[in-house]
Amino acid sequence: MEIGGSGMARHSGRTSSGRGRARSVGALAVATVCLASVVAAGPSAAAPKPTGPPLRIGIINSEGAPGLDFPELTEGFEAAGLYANDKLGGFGGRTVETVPCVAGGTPESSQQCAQQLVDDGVDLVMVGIDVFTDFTTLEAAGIPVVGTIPVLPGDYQQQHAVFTTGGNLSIMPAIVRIAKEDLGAKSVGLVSTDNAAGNVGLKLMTDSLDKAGIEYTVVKGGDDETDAGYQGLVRTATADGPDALISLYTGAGCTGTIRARASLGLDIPAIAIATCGTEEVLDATGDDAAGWIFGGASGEETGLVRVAKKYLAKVQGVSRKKADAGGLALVGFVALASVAEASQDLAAGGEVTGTSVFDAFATAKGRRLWGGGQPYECGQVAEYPAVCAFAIPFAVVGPGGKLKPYEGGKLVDGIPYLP
Amino acid sequence: MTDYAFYLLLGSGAGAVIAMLGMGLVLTYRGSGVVNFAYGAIATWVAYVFYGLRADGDYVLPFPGLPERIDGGDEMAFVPAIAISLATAAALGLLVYAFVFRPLRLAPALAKVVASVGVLVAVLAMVQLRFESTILSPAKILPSEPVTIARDLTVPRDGFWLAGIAITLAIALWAVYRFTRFGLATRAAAEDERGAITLGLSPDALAALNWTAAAVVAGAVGILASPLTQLSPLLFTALYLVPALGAALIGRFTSFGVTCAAGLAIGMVQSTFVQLQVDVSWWPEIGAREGLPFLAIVGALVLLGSRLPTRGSIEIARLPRAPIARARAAELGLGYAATVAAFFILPGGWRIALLTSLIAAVLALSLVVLTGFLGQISLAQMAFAGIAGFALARFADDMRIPFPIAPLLAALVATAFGLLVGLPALRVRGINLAIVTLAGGVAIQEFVFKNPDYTGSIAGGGVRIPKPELFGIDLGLTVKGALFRPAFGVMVTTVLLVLVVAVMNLRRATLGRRMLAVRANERAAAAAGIDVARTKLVAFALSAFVAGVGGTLIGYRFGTISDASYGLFASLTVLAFAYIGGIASVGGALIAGAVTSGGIFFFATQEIVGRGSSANLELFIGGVALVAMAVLNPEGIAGALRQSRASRFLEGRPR
Repeated sequence: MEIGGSGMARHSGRTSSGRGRARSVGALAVATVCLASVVAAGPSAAAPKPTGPPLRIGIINSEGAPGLDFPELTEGFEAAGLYANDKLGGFGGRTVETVPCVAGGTPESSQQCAQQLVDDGVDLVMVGIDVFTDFTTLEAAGIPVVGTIPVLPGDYQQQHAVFTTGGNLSIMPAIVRIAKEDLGAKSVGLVSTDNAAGNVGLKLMTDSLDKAGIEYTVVKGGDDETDAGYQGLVRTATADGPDALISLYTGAGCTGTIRARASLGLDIPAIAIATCGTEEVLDATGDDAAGWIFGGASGEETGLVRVAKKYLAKVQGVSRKKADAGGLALVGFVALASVAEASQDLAAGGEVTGTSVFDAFATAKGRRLWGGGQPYECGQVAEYPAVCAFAIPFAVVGPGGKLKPYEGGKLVDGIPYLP
Repeated sequence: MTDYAFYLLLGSGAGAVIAMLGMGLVLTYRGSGVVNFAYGAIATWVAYVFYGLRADGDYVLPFPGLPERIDGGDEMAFVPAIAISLATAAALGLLVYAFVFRPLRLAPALAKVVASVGVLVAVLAMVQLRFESTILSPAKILPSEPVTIARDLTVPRDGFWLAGIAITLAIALWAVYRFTRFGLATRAAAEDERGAITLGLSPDALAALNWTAAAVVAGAVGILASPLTQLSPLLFTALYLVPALGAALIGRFTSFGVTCAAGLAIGMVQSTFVQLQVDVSWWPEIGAREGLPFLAIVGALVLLGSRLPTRGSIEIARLPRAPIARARAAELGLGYAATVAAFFILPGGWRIALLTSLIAAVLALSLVVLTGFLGQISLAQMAFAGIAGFALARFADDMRIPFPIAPLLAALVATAFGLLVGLPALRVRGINLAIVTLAGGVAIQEFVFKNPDYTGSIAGGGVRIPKPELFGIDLGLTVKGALFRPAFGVMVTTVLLVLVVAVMNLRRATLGRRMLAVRANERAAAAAGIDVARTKLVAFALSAFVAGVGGTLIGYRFGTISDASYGLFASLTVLAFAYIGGIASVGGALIAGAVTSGGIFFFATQEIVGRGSSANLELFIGGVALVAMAVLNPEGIAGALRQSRASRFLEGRPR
């Protein structure tokens, strides 16, 4: 019963006030943002307009709670729904109708959302970020689930839900692969925050490092470190002269660790996760960020982003130029658009239902996420049946603080180093 | 050794923040007797206001319904921006005192805790409403160029500047309270309000002035400290709150100098943990940094114990009366039957809301035992619930212990932790105990809930809780094809009924009377031959057991346990709703369950009024409603109903 969340689930056509870039804080930091790859393939050719009855897609997403406020994910889903109806023939020829439900950051509100969407008779549920998704209810009602970013350990083992990204599970081993195979690192210094989400991510990272045979020094700090504090963390982590520095911080820690490395005059390679590669962080750090590599960031606006912006503008009620396609909005867009693409073949025959759409996505082989992005195959790693995509892009900060694709935009998957 | 000196110095900035917030808490307490858990919220709001003025020239307004901001043109210069921001702080402090804590001057400490929770929630919600992006990087204010300490050791100097400001503030506050008429008058009122009034002083005016000053200090902290890290809603309200409370406690809520020194020490010592975790093999991998303030608080209690000051208020406010529940078996049976029937009749959304209410009632019952009967304030109830939840996963999933033995064992584990957290209660009470239990809850959160060994690793699939089964009957909430089965609701209702009867009997029993005697006057109770220490520990144990049962019900309901449900705010929420319902009676606990967030009353309102589009606006309204309830209904809803029936009886009016 968390008053920090609203304790209720709501249906709303417009999900929240404000469209700004919301961030997670505290114990539930978003650990990964996997954007569409920079592969230059354009969007799919337009399909005939959908003519079938609406396919109702429930959307569950966390909004309005401190540390759990991601309205842009819902915007991404809704925009992708418009795009799917416009260009992809809806879902298997059926018009996409999105039914958002806001989870207030509590288990009770998530359960309410699940119940309401069941009552509303939705055919499929897309989950943005919801720590407490009530998979049990949705599974019992026979409603399949496609999520974007898994959060809790149990999410990876869901049998009746899939996730378009692997969250920590794709980021951490991929970083290890970069460290080992590209940087030739034999030892790394790790800085991480000592909170619940951070410790889960850290465990993944250290398990992956163990598998790669890379030695490491872990130094943990708090969520409220000052710049001086981050300096201390980085200094201790690099005291033994490791081959690379890895920061698992998000939020304020991004700026702090980037500045700390620069203040200490270090030039060893440094890797962080995509939430540190945002415009906000790079504006704050400027030249200090030169040389940093970000896992899960793509580094440039592609034609795909411009396509997404066209529809995000409609949802956000702004001009195309002002549409915000940063970070999580694109994650939501890519997820729903990918499911729509996978279901296009269903229009040719057979019944188009939520289950058949889910199956089309979840059993697809040799496909890529919307726009020719990451290859995905759900359940490709048996131990993590719910994860569909492990390959992620990386970006690197060049001189002048500009972000650009890493190694020409290659995708990196850390499957060999999965714990 | 040089390295450790380096880290001590690195921690001066964080230590200064803790010190200044701690001194602000002391200032508020000395002036009004209130420990303001929302103090960090004032710092937060003013920091955001200052950021808005500097970044856009906009002055952000905190009142829903009015324009969001006043457009001041381009970004504002530093001096006018800080003047306006500090004036905002002063106004906010005065408003909060005038409308919230002044009416509660004679109310129990618990009412003030609940009111400060309401203020905290309302301010946090307003930050989220007014600022699209709530994680901000304010521009540096203090000089931050590195200064070389030794060899190649350089430290940003802004931390030193902030430490210097903190020390200057401590000296200034000491001087004001030592040498000025205002300061002496405040000290006099704190010692003896009646005497102060006799001398022509106004404790009310003094409190207002102290609140204003404290709010200005909070604003200054928010403005100066946020560039050292990054501004976020939880920075001052949660992350720095507990250490600041610890520093204030070490300073006995009286000494600015000791509070300042303690705050600096906490921050600086925390900084050395960076090196210690590498140098010392047995250093705890998880939770050490945030667990330190708890240790500081416990240490302060061990050393200071009964010497912690209480305020010489005119009236010692009493907790609500704890009447003997007079429900007959037939009435209980009728209530039980009606609730069970509801699970068969109501649609799914209503059943979920009813479940939320029933479980909330169980948690509220735990507070009836501890706070209502014994008079002790606990801010750790959800921590006990979480302990039980995680223990249940071990017993039921790993060790395959069947229902109902597994949840009972899990509740006993929570009981053990309740005893541990209750030990300090032997030496302190009232608001000091609230602080100790708050820190205890945080320590449990840090050392247990953060640890993947308990919360589950990704490879392990997290923490699972199998469905309860009894004699082959599946009592689980959901199975394929059947959602929100009545069987689960019947189980929860039965558990609540058992606990209701148990608590009612406790009230009537000798132990219950002992608890009430201790609540009324510990010395008198001891003089009457009551073992006060044993009574307190038993009450903590029973309370933790009931909270643990609540935690197991939560686990069974969701099939999994996450640390995110059991944090500090969750405990504050449980306390707040328990108080609103009526914390001293079984009826109050049931009402608390009914009105809890997400519960049956909440759901019904939404069904009738319709669902709003802004969760933050609803959160703001919820915070304001909490404050209003604490101010207008100190006895809670149950108490108000009793008074209404009593007054009608006395007037001869029919029910």
